[in-house]
Amino acid sequence: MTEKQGSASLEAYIEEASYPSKRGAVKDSFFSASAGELTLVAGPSGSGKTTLLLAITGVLKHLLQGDVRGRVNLAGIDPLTEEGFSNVPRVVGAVMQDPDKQLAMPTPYDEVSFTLENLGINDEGKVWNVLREYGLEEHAFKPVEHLSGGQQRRLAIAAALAHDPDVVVLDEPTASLDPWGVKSLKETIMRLLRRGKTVVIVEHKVRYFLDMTSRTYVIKDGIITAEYRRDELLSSEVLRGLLMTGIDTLPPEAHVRDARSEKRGGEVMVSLSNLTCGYGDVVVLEDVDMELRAGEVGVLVGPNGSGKTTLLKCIAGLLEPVDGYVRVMGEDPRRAGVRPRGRLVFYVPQIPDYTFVSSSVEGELREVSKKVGVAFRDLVSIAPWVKDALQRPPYRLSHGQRRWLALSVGIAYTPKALLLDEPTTGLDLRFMSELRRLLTKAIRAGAAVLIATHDPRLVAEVADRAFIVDSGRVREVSVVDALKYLEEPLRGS
Amino acid sequence: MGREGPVDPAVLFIYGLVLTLVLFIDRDALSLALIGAPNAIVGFALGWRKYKVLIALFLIGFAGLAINALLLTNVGPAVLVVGPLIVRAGAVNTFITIGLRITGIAGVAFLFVSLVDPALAVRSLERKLRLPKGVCFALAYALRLIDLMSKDLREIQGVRVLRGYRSVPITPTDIKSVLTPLLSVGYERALWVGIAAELRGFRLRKVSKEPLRIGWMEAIVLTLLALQILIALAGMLGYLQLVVPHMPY
Repeated sequence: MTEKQGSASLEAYIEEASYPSKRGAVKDSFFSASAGELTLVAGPSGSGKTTLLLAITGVLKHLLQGDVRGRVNLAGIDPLTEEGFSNVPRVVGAVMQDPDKQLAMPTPYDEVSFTLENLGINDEGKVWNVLREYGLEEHAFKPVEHLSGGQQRRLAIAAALAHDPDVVVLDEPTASLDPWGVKSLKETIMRLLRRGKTVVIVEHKVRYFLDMTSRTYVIKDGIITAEYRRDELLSSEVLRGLLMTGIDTLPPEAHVRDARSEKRGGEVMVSLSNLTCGYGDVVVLEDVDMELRAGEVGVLVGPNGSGKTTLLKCIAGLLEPVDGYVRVMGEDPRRAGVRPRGRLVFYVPQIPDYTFVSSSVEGELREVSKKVGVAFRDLVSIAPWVKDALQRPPYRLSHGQRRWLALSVGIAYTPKALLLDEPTTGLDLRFMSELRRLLTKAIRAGAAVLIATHDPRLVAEVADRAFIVDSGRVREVSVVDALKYLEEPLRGS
Repeated sequence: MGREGPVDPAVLFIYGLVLTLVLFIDRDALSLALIGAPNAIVGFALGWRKYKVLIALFLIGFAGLAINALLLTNVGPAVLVVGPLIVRAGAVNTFITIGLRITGIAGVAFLFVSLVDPALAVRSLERKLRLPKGVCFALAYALRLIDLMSKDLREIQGVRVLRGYRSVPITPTDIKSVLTPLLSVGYERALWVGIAAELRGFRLRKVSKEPLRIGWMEAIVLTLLALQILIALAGMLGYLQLVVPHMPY
């Protein structure tokens, strides 16, 4: 660590931070971070973590028409003043939650050079150095849409840190990252800490950073309620306490169910034989054989971009197989007589907004009711918050609520095969138990469930069977082996 | 830095902007056809691979144009009688004129978005045409957003099929139910891209000026533009007439 270590380069007291539509999203919270140290802000979904970050960078006040009362010292500048906010990019590199939604340029090369050009650095060599440092050199001119989720995350970080800022702020950096991506992220953070940078991470999966963090703040209902030093965080009592609030502090083994039921006797719902799938001439997966029976939950694990989503889309009939066949209840989903097709197989995409067809939650549930014949009042009663949100557009619900609504829509179709793409991205442990409840409902209705995920918690808690998708192949492994596969890269980091 | 496109984006921007204005002003069907058709053929051909769905939606829009023409301008001598429906010259004239105009404009737009790289556009427009950096960035991001929205649209269409809705929207309700998620995701992207750009120093961006260099390709594009302006002027001033040879019986 450098000699800069220990001096506070970020200090903030937020008396109240409000959005135009929500007052007091964060209040009465003090926060500080020092050079050469990793500071974590942990809290469950909706606790105000991101708002705190938007408040201390000045984004909430200057770009989102919010109101921030308090004082902030960000490496010597006050981002709450107009002049200070203009200078924030000189000292801060910030990466927001969803990398897909913050990449402005068509290729990694353009994305990195955009930051440098903004700050008056017209140095092609520097662009290449940054791309090399983040392992993106070979993809310099590849369209950003063709990068995997992990590569997009790395690119977002590379572009935000290209100008070597003193303070680095990362919002949920592990969301949708595979274990190798998390390992690479941790290595990047270690490099930054060695160079004396101040690193602040907002995250609910605290366990990934327990070995690196110097200080951890816990935020709940918009207020920072506790502060722990690294040695305090090693106490199991503290970790259990954090777990109770929805912050993930335990290794996935702790979530493994005691009794993993044996359900192999059910009817075969999904059957894949010699399946080869891909896009146009590009083959993504070859010779996939798989059977999934009623009541079984299968998980697909593997690196970002390995073909998990492609396989789910192929099973849903959204992609035509290049070779081989897909059968759900003995029918080819693309030519099934069942109408709507969602009665046979339903795919819930990673971005839940794609699922919605109406501009209000009420409209959405009425459409479902009309299509599948479930009473509207039964749909409203599926979660306590739904009644209060009926008139809201589904697109304005919280991240967790949107994901939950999309999943509920899928389950209401009572499909024989329910396919979920990264259902826990950005969700805390409370939503996890909601997800379990919904899955139980689908299973009781006789569905086979197949989930693409990087989340060891999900694998540990719900999987009956596990499949590793890697290098164009799919192979079945035990659930314990799937967990080891997901945890191994992190043990080495 | 990086790679160059076939034509300077600044020149293509001038071509697209001027031609769009010309097509808006021009009211002569013949000159609209002479300008609109070649641009539409080239633009749709270039854009077909990436923007098939948008082109299909555009073509579906012609049904709306025909209905509007029949409802609002169905006057003059009868041209066609289909059962109880009498189609008059006014409706035909409106359909042809507006159809050619919007086809031409769409063709120019597809030509521009197919040939221009967003990152090169930002640099070229702000450095060579001295357009405000905010306008250039918004334009460049809009170009990129077209690709992203095409991808979003494919995803939305997939889930619609599963939910028992038409994949390609036909009715106004269909169109609304496709556009709502599409625009919602697009809005969220645009919002966060804006925030990310600000946090990466966009407001500090200093623009260095560069002269607009005219090479062979740029010269050809500008000559074609001048030619099309002359055709439009000739059409509007009545110097352009279609001569139908008299066929002896």
